[in-house]
Amino acid sequence: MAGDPFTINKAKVRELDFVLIKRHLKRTKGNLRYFGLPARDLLELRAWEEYFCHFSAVERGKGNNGFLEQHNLILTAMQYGLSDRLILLRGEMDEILSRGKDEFGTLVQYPFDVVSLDYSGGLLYKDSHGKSRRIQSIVQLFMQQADLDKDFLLFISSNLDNEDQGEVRLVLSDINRELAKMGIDANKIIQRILNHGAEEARLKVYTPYLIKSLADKWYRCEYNKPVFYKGNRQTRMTHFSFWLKRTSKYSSGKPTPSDLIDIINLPAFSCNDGVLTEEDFGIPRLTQIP
Amino acid sequence: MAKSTFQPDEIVLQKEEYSYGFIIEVLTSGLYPNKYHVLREYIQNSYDAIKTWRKQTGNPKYGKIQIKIANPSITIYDDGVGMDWEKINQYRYVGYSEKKTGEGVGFRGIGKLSGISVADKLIITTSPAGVGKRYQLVFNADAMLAHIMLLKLKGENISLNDLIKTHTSLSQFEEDPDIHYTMVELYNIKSDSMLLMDEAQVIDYLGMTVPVDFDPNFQYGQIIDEWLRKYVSDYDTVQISLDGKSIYKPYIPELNYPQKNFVYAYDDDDTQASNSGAGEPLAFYWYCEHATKGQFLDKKKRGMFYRVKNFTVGTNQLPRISLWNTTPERAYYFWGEIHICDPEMIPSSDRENFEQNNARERFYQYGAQISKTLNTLAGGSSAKRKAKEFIERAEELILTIQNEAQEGKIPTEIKFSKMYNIKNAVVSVENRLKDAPKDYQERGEKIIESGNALIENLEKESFPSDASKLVYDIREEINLGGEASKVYEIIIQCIDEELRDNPNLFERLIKKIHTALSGHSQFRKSI
Repeated sequence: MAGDPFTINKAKVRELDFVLIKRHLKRTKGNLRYFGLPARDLLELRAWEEYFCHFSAVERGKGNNGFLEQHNLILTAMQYGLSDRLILLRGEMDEILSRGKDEFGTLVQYPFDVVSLDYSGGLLYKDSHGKSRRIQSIVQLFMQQADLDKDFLLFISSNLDNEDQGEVRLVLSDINRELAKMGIDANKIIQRILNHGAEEARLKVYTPYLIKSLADKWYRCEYNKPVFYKGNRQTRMTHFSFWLKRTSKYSSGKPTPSDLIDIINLPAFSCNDGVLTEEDFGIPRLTQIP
Repeated sequence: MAKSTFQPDEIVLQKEEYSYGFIIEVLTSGLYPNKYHVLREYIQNSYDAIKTWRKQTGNPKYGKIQIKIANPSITIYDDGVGMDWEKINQYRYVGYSEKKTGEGVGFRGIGKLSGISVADKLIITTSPAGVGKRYQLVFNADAMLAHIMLLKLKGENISLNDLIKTHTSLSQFEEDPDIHYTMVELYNIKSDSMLLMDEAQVIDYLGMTVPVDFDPNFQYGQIIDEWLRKYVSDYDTVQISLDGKSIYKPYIPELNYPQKNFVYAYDDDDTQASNSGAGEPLAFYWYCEHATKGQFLDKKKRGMFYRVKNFTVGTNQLPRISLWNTTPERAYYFWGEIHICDPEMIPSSDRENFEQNNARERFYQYGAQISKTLNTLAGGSSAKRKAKEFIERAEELILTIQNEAQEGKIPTEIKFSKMYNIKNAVVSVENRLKDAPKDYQERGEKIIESGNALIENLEKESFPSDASKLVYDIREEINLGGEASKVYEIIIQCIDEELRDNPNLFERLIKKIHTALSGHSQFRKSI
């Protein structure tokens, strides 16, 4: 089917995701369950097909004719023989996760082995009351998955149209303060991150910190290298991946200094024309002993 | 994605210029009192599209239809020939169909819009082979019907042309030229049609209605399928799945080996017509009889069903009403199908019956052969079954009495009742012996012989082989004499009079009295 081309970069990102799926979930090949917002051509689902027995695919549909985008998604699923394994959830991802059902009452059928959240407007999107339904929905996801004792891979893709109301700065300042309490002077590095010209440099720290904090009550969070790339129509995109391992160990919900150092030092990839290169944004690594 | 949307003016709709919009409401709501028929309409179109592709490619097994039921929609996808630009335009013409009668399954051009009666929107996406285009037609049924209602309130009217222009849109996109398909989505099923969302019910309905294969577990499915492919020229099947579950024609487990026959336009005794070879058959039918007894219990899954191009017409009531003049209950002793071969037998729009025409009258006249054949078979089977039952019952009765007699356990008071029972059983067996299967005839003859011998012996009160008594007299056994014996006789006589119509109770009572008397030490001698 024509339209919505999967760019070479995005294809590379999905390839990396598949490596992670194989690494963590090969044992249950054929029985995996997916939740997410797939590409319109379902390219990733088609590529991963042999690993999965279930796909819960979210399609919001834009504007008054949103039902046509949903129709086209089913059409693609029918053409590629995926429809029997596919549940279409109609509506906004955040709403669906928060309410546990879509606009038409179709329930989210937990648990999932792979959750792929694809956000436009960034992870920091907030409603008119300044509340982040996005964050609430992710917490809901963790709770539901933890209830069923499910380890899972979490992919978060987002463009850089963040509606940041100072939150990233606040979080980085918090990290700085926390480290200072432990006698670690990260001030210079944090300042460099804050003043860096690329938004990606800040999100590289902010997003893992956020996910770690949200998941900490139920999960041990392993980070993988985020990927920064250009998507459709040259949109700047970020892609994060996490392996969330269920733990019963009580946690305050706040990352330890060692976690914070890991997050600040987390290596990243930049992907151009499908080629991955290490990206440190010119920011030096933070060592434990200043 | 290249997209171009066509404005209604570009679309030729003059064929509806003089029709009025209200026709939409009438055609869609009034035509399908059974909501499931809406699904059948789309399956018919898919089936025709697949059949066309099979014909074009010479691949008789090609194609499948996938159905997905997921709130709020029902989606039907086929990989058939697809519709080109002209055909998708024509899709909007109410009552317009290029199919000629007898060519495809549907032909009236009405059923394609039936989705309007059950859903808020009807979305059709299709791609014809070799064209490289995908066309998407949307009927905004909710808005269309609301528009009609509003006009009705105002006492105004609208031409069908304008109504369709206002509430439909047609777009085209790029597509792989090698791909061909049609997908229909009934979007947002209305609250009064939610039964269509019940997967199990839909599978049940489709299995009984559409041209799917016999269930692979049906032991006679293959042979019947072979007959149908050989004798019914337009018989065919297609793979249909609903949410991944394959749909098959259902079957009943307890069935005898299937039989087959034709209906011709002459009666069995019309030898002249028969010898002259009175043309093509009007129908081919197959049937299986209940392997055990009587009617099948499932009211929906029993009897005969009419099929045209392997789609069901009506329910199991229709052959029963149209072909059975006597003993209609016997129709339900069978499970089978009547495949109509006469192209002039045309299903009515709602497919609940056939159009009233000469062909139908002719078929109903000659099709009575079916009921005649099946009634005769059912009658024969019933007689055979009854004969077997009587023989088995007589064997059991006579053996029991023989044993009682050998042990001397028959009270003298009930001797005649026993003889009467044996005689009855023997006569019943004699009367039904001719209906019994061969092995049972032998058993029947034996039991008649044993029964008569037993009666004779009871009359003599002894077996020739041993001198022991077959019956006993309690008065002798317990040495009851004089006045007591007289009293006993009077009591027994009274009981006999009262329980003459209930010999079983009489026997039980006598035996109980005997046990009580013989257990009483002062009377006890031996028993």
